[in-house]
Amino acid sequence: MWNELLYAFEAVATLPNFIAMAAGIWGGVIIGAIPGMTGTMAVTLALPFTFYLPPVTSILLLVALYKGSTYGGSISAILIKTPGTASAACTVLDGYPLAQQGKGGKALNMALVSSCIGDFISNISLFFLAMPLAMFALRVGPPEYFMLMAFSLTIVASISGRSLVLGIISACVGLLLATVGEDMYGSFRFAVTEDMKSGLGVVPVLIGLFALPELIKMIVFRPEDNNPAMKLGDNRLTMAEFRGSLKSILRGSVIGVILGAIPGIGPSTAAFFSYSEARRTSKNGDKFGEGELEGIAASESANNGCCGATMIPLLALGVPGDVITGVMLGAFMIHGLTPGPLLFQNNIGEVYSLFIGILFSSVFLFIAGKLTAGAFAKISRIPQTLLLPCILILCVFGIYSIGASPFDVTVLLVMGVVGFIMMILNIPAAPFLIAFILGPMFEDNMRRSMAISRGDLSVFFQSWISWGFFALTILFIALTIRREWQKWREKSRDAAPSA
Amino acid sequence: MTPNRDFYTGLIATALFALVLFVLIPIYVKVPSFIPGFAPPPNMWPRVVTCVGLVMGILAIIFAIPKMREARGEPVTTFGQTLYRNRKLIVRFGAVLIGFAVFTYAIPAIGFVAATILLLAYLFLMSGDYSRKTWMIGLTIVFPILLYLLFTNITHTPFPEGHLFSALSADFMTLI
Amino acid sequence: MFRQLKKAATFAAAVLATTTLVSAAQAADYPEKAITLVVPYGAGGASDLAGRALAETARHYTDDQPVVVVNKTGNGGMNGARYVTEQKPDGYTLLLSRVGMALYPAVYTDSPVGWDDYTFLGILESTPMILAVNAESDIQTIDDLIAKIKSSNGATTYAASGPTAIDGFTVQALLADTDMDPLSASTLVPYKGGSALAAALLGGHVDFLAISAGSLMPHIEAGKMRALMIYAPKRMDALPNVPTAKELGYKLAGQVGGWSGLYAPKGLPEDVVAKWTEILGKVATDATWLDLAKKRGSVSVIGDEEPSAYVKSQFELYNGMAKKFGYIQ
Repeated sequence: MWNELLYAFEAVATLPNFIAMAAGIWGGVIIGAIPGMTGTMAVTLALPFTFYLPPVTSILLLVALYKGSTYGGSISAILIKTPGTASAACTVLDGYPLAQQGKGGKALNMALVSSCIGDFISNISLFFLAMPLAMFALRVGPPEYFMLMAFSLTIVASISGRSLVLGIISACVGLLLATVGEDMYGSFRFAVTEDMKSGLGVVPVLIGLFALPELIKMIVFRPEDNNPAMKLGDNRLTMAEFRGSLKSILRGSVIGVILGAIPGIGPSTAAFFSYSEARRTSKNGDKFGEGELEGIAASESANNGCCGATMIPLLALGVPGDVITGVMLGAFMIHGLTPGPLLFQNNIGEVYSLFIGILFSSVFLFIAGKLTAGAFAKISRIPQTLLLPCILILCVFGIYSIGASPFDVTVLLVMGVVGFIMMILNIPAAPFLIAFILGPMFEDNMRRSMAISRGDLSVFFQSWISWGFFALTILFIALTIRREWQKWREKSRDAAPSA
Repeated sequence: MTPNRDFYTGLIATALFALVLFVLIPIYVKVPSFIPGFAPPPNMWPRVVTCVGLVMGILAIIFAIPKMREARGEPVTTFGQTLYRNRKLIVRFGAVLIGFAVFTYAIPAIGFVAATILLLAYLFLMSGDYSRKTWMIGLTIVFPILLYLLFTNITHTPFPEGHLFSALSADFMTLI
Repeated sequence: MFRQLKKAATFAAAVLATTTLVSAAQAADYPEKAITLVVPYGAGGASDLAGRALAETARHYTDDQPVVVVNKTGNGGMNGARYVTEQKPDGYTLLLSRVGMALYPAVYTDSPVGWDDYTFLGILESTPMILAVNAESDIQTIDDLIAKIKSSNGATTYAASGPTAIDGFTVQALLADTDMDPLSASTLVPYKGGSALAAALLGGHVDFLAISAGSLMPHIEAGKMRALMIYAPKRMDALPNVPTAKELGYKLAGQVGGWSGLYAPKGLPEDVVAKWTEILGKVATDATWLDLAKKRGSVSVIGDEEPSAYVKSQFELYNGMAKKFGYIQ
């Protein structure tokens, strides 16, 4: 094995590979940071180039783009409240308040450090745990997915902010909008127009919900202090702050690895999951959502912790978990390599080269992130009245180019108005988004399980994985109810003397 | 204001979910005559979601009532008064809505670039801050064209050229 | 008022005429800018790879004009198809069509695009589909499978993209051929996309499936799945011992199969059609194209079929099945 590793190291340590990785990471960070341009787009654009590159170089390029864009999303999430990719939506919750407090640089540094640590842990587990994690992922069938999704939906309680009731209302609207379009059996739901038959895209909904309300707010209220040119004083991330968040970073990375290894779950779920866990266990839990560095650490470590791990089912089983790994599968096949158990038997040299190359990419990510974030941080000096309209135009271009679809632009604008109304009514936006992402997986797997069991509900309790998630869900709901009860009692006690 | 607002939020949510549950689902969710296996029909999940939403909307109203009682000592603002006091804001919000609507219809008519230039100009005008006029005029023209060049060269997105323009230019060509 | 309307109508007609005149005049030196090839399914899938392979090969024969692939997904591929039919017929927007473009109008009477709302440029490749079970299953042959479905009284499960998708029709055609009810003899479990379908069989969550070869071959080669039957005109080189549905005498299943074609909006000028016939003729013998087709597990059939007759026969085949299975009355 050591000889093979040494040989693989020599094979991977070539200039073209390093150039591919550096270019991929940097390009990915920039594309991810631009609102409306996603990692999927970056990977799809690069696919034709891989026809001409050697297999290891082309996969390294795609992986680098994926990682770069997953991190890049956090830059615009923090600075302009516009998550560049869906996985950075959770970073907005604490990142933007920090930027408003003039701590944007600090938040960017925290995001970068936790992304790189999450990324590195993910790469290590790809190296050592690919087979066992892949076997675990394969055992996750529809009932287990269903239970996992049920547990994930309890995240809504953690990100509801002031009022749990309003949070659940927000989540219900998200769940409802996610059902628009064709369902799994081919029936159409709420398809009023022909365009609505294919459903609402995640990116236009996401950006409409988070970025546009700021613009509409600026136009409608015309705040006196229109240009709170953000201070850029407090930029450094101190050792104490890093140490305080280390537990959340490590936990987030592990959550990212496990959820990343299960096909179809993806980095946005992992980020929200990790955020919710960090909020529950942290001693600063109550400050989450008002600009808490630990929140950024939790969400960013988890979404980058997914990156390496999504390669696990692809390489070990030949099963891509999302669109990006799907494109990678295509790239493998163009070069006559078929991911799966056979790859480890026939092409172990390439596999090791790939692993070693991916390990290096964490370092590239740190350098590219540092340089790009520094350049982008200047954005916060642009006055809001100039910046916000330009962001909308940028989003309109980016979103149109995803699918050359005017309907996506309409969805973006309509969701912006909906988001603004929700802002006025004090309804939090984050539960809407997580419900919109998780809803289809929850419903599809429930219906799939029922089809397999022919209507027998016991299908949901046939494996220890299901039982485990079921127990966690019940526990979490019980804790939430207790917390709400205590809050209510305190409030009525406060209210009593004054009445 | 806040207790009042929570009450209205609950009211709007209740009305919205009731509308979906009793009107939209029966019309727009078709249940096929045959469902393979014993899987729940397509209208089951939207119904569950709207029922939960309905209950939450009613809860929001109930929770808001004690807070409103608390606030009774303070001058009560009715819905109409609130609307009247904020009429300027409502007009601006309406202007945003009209701008967005015109924009979506303008894309197929005058083309993507022209429509985005108009939208950007409109948003700058609406922002109410004209201290950087040169920047605004410059950005309005340069920014969309720059993005257009960038996206057509990198992603090769086929942006709509606009019926009116292509018709005019075609007419123009025949004239020459 | 009416006079104005009439004026507007004549103006519109004149404009329409001039634009078609202009595009006809341009056709002589076609192509003079980049050509957009719309793939109506997601990036990385079998149709996307077919589209990209065509784009990579064809650009050597299009006077150095690039062929750019754009993925426009949604509504079973009809979103992209509808987009292409709404574009100007100038040869700069083309569609990589799949069997779905004939299947969807055959199953949905309210399809946004009819099967013949295009100019057909050619049929590119046929993609075999494979009926497979998990390697750990006790089912060894197609007869074992049919016996098991018959004895289980509807409790066996198979994975497919949906009841009216091509990979649902593969199984339903087989069930109909063996005198079983195509809808209820075995339970369909829907999954999205070839890899999710393959994963469901790999994880043992369903009993069998019949989907495109490209998604299954890696797993069959790795010994994780067992191929029972092939939906294709002839046996696959990679699986010489697996019989085709036609050989086994299945009437409907013997006709089902996947393919890709190249379509353009209706009313494409004659010389653009001729240009593409010429380009496709060169692609047919191009080593890159043939090599990429083989790696995807499909067979290049450029020039073998007269496209409009072939698509018509496909539409009629699936329309007949949809009536027989009860999807349309």
